[in-house]
Amino acid sequence: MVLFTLRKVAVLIGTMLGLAALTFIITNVAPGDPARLVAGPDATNDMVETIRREYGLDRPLIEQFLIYMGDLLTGDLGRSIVSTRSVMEELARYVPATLELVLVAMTLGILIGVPFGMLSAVYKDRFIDQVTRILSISGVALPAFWFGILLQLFFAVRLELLPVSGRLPLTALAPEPITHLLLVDTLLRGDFETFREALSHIILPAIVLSFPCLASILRVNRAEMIEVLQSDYIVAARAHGIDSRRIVMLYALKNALLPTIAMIGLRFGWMLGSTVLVETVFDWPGIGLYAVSSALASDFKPVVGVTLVIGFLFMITNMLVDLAYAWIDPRLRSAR
Amino acid sequence: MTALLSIENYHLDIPTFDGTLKVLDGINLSLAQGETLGIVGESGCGKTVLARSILGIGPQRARRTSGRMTFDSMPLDELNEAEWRRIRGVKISMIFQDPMTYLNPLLTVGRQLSDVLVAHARALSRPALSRQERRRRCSELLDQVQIRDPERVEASYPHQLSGGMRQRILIAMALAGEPKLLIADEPTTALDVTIQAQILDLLRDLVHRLGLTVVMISHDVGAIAAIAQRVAVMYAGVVVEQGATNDILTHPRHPYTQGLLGALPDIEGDHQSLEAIPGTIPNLIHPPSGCRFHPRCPRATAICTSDKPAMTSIGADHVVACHHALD
Repeated sequence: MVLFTLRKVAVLIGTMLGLAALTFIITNVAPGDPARLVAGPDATNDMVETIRREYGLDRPLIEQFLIYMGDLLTGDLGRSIVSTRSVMEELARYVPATLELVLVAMTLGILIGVPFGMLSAVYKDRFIDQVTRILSISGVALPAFWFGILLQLFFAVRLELLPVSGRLPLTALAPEPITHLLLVDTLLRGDFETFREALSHIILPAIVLSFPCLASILRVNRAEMIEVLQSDYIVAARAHGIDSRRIVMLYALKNALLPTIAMIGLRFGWMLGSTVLVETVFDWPGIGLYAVSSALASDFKPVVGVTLVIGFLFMITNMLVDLAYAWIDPRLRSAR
Repeated sequence: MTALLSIENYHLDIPTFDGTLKVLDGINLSLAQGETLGIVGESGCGKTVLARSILGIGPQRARRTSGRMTFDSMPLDELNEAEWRRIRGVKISMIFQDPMTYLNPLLTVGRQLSDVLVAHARALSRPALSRQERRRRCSELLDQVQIRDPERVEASYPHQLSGGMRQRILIAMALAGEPKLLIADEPTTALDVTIQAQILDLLRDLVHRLGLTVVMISHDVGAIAAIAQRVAVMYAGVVVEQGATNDILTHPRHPYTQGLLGALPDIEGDHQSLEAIPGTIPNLIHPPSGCRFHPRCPRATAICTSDKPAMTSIGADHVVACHHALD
């Protein structure tokens, strides 16, 4: 298992380098002269050339690439042309917000999707199965922005139970960062008042973001459970007198979890890339909004930075999925 | 002698999209304590459904339409899940056809075996076994099925073991609860020929040593002959002939039994003529009228298409359901 993990980490590093190289190539193939963009429409050729030199855009491509990779390794993603702040600094502000939102949404998706998938498999075509079917179909079908606004209108405007948007109220002070995840930091600092505030702010966007993911986890887990429950080893376990709760919770669920985990990994990557709608509706200060506003301003460095962060997070998730697979299934451990 | 297991006029249907499969059509079997009964028949004749029904683990959609099963004076058809739990594994237990798929691939053998022990202790309302007791019992059970290195096997996952080894483990699991009745559903079919012989030897040895009552199901007449004192021949959901193994093998009276035995390769006989039974097994949604074998039977006459033959005694412990039984 240790060797397996090391091998997976090595593959991960290789893939990350590959992604970095790919982003470099794409930005250089993309049409448009970045130097001219920076200089603005009224700049003279001289000014453009100065900027070209300043940004190192006049050097050979190979050299530019080496500099780019070197900067990456030292954590330097360049500066945003619009805000002139370091991209790394800005990402450090926006990424944790998105990550927190995605993690909470994913937790919701798993905590609801897996048990309900299991239940609707055990009670196939009965009442609970019909209920979860409605839940999962609407999860896939409802557009996030519409569903988000609906929840805002009901819970925030009508019932006034939860805040409409944002990550914290203006009056609240974020705790001194440790993990940069508000929910974790407030707990670690013992600031329960702010924790409650942060929680009430994250609930609605997390529900909206988790809904499609919950739906697919539920459907995959249900389908797998139904299949596994008909397999020979389940028949054998029943014949040996093992009670049905243990059969469902251990003998069947462990086997059904494998494809479910794959789906969780996929959905995690999908969520990272699709938070922008939810972030817009709930005014959530995350990378989705940051990426879109940068792209609209043709601000390349932040776009590349966001691409790399999402890509890396996705790869790490995939590696974790692989490790979880091997941890659950002994056949994979010995096969490689 | 009262029967340990008795099956009377048992009918079982399985509804499907295309229509209702009449899988079992009036099965009558009875088995005394210590007896070994073999059930032979070709694939799809209802052997496995019958075997699983005895343990209440038949297909979920299967419906008993009439008849009953009694085990140790308990009506099996009327048990609820809680009552079944006090029977499965501890009173009636089962070994299966394909050891590759009947062990859970994600749990170690030791875990699965000790799970069975825990379940049995609970079923019999005995105090839970301690860790050491479970380990000791696991080793004992594996030793009983002639596994020499129990520690390694217990720590292994099923895919790390050979087919023969896995079948031994499944046998150990089936015997863990010291059941009164053991159902063996094609226990050697999925194994290599050499391993088949080993497993058969092991089974025969265990049956004699533990005095087990056994229902063994197979399409392999040789395997049946090695274990069973009595044989029931099944065709398309019907028992067509039943009697002492020797008797049936040497003097088959039902044309189907004769055909089945004729289809066996004979090492001493003429190698050219391996006789097949003409035709195919019938569609059980619309089974043939009268005797279900009549479309394939060389002796069939008008009465065979209209009347279902009754089971008639034709000798000491030998019954046959045929209008034109052979002499």
